[in-house]
Parts: sequence; C-alpha cells; structure tokens
Amino acid sequence: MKLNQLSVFLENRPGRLGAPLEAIAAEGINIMTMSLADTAQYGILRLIVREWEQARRVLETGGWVVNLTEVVAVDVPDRPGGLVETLKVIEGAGINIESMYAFSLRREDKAILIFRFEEPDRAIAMLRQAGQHLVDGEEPFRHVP
Amino acid sequence: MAVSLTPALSQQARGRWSALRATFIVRKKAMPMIRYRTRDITSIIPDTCACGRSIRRIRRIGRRSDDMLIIRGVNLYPSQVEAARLRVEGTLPHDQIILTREHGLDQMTVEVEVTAEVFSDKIRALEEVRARLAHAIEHVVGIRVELRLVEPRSIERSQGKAKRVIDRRSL
Repeated sequence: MKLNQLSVFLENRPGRLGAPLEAIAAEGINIMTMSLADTAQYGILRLIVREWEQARRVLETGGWVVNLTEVVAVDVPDRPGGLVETLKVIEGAGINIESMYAFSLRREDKAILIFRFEEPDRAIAMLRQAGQHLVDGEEPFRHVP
Repeated sequence: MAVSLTPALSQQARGRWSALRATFIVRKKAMPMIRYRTRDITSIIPDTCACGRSIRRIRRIGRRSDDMLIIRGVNLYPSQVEAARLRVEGTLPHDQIILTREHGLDQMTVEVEVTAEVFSDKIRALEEVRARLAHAIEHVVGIRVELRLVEPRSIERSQGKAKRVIDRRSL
C-alpha cells in the first residue's frame, strides 16, 4: 500500500521539465505515474517508478535535488462518487490529506488514487477498517511495461 | 579640502584608473591631515574641456574598489546577503544578487540554489523557506527583495566561485 514517490525540484522555465524525464528514459525506466505541482517560480515533479533507487541516483548525479516520500495507493471504484466514498472515510477519521493525484492507468472498473497523508500509517489502518482496498506493493507495477 | 587620486597627482595618474580621495589639509601644526578613502574608481581626463575651461576633470565614477552596492540609496555588501542566507539555513551554498532598474526604481532579486536539506515535497514548506530567506535579507538590507529559488548549479560559476552580483542597471 505504500509506494515510493520521488519529488524533483524544477525551475519554471522552458526545458526544465524535459531534462529529468530524458535522463530517466535514457536509463530505460518507465514512469508509472507522475504529477507536476507548480508555483510561478518553480515546480515539483512527482514520479512513481518501479526502479526508484536507480531513478533517484540518475537524477542526483544529473544535479537535480530529489526527495523520497512514502505515498499510499488506494483502489477507488471507477464510477461517479467513487472517490467521494473514499474521502468520507479519510476525512471522517480526521486524517489530513497533503496531496493527491490519480494514477494514469485504469484497471477494469477501478481507478487508483495516490495520496500523501500527514499520518500514512493511521490512514492505512482507517481505510482498511472501512473496507477500502489498498493497492499493494507490486500490483501497480504489473500493469506497467 | 583637496581632492586627489591615488597615487598623488602626477604625470602617472593622468588617464589611469585610480581611487578618489579627499584630504582635509589643516594649517595648524598640531593637527594631522585627515584623508578619506572614498573607494570610488575614476581617472583624470588629461585634455581640456571642449567649452574651453581648463579645470582638471575626472571621469564619471562607474565602479568601486570594494564590492559595496548602492541600491535605492542603501549601501549593501554581498557578504551581508551571504550572512543572512547562512543564518536561515547554514547548508545553502550559493546566492546571486541580480540588480535591475524598473520604472526608474532599483530592484534587487536574490537567487538561492535549492539543496536536498531544504527541499520538500510540500510546496508549503518550500514557500516557507523562501519567505524566511526573503525576510532575513530584507532585515539586513532594509528594502524589499525578490527571493527566487533555483536549481543546483544554475548560478554561473567562474573558476569554481559563484558570480555574486549581476548588475543590469545602466549606469
């Protein structure tokens, strides 16, 4: 249920987004999912890749500043209101969501949402208790070539 | 008061860049001469003026012998900005001061390279670092500065040392 997400600091100017992605691609690493958070000045590129240690090494060698964060992957019914049900569980337990984005891959009738929680362990416990399905370890990567 | 250029007014000083100094010459025997080093760099223009006046002229003062900057009337040394940066986070290695003039007003932008220690996945945390840096520098300088976080190694280096100040104001 916990996945390793890499965050990369990028300046908000042309070419800065392509450069780290090129470096990762050169290593033959395929990106499972990613998101880009932006401010006027800079952005944070968040990546989930299977070979995160290798990706981190490549990026740091290339001069980028990289952080590692544990995120939680939750299975959400892929229909209107599916996410709302999941959020009700989280918000009901008073767990703070720091950021969230959707997995780019769809499986049957389920979508995967990536959450960064302030208290990931408590969030996992709460979600499990409420019968929510958490996406485990290797499962997300099975759908990535 | 006598105004001269170092070395003392001589044939050698004509046309060469040297520092401007002002000397109080006092006639009383017991008082020493007081000489001020202005640190402004200029040089003597050897020819007489086109208008005919033969008074000795010096070139417009374009730079200083130290690294002091004057921004909106405030005196500032790059070392002060460096000290403020290290006070906020001792591991931040480099900053660069960029001076521009917009609508007649001097603008100061300080670029600081992000390090692994200050980088966070949370934008809120990064913005907090930016605010703390801006506040620390403004406290020292006395004017508003724009604080820009930049990627590592994006501040140009010359011979391994970062170029501290880029002054884009036309003199």
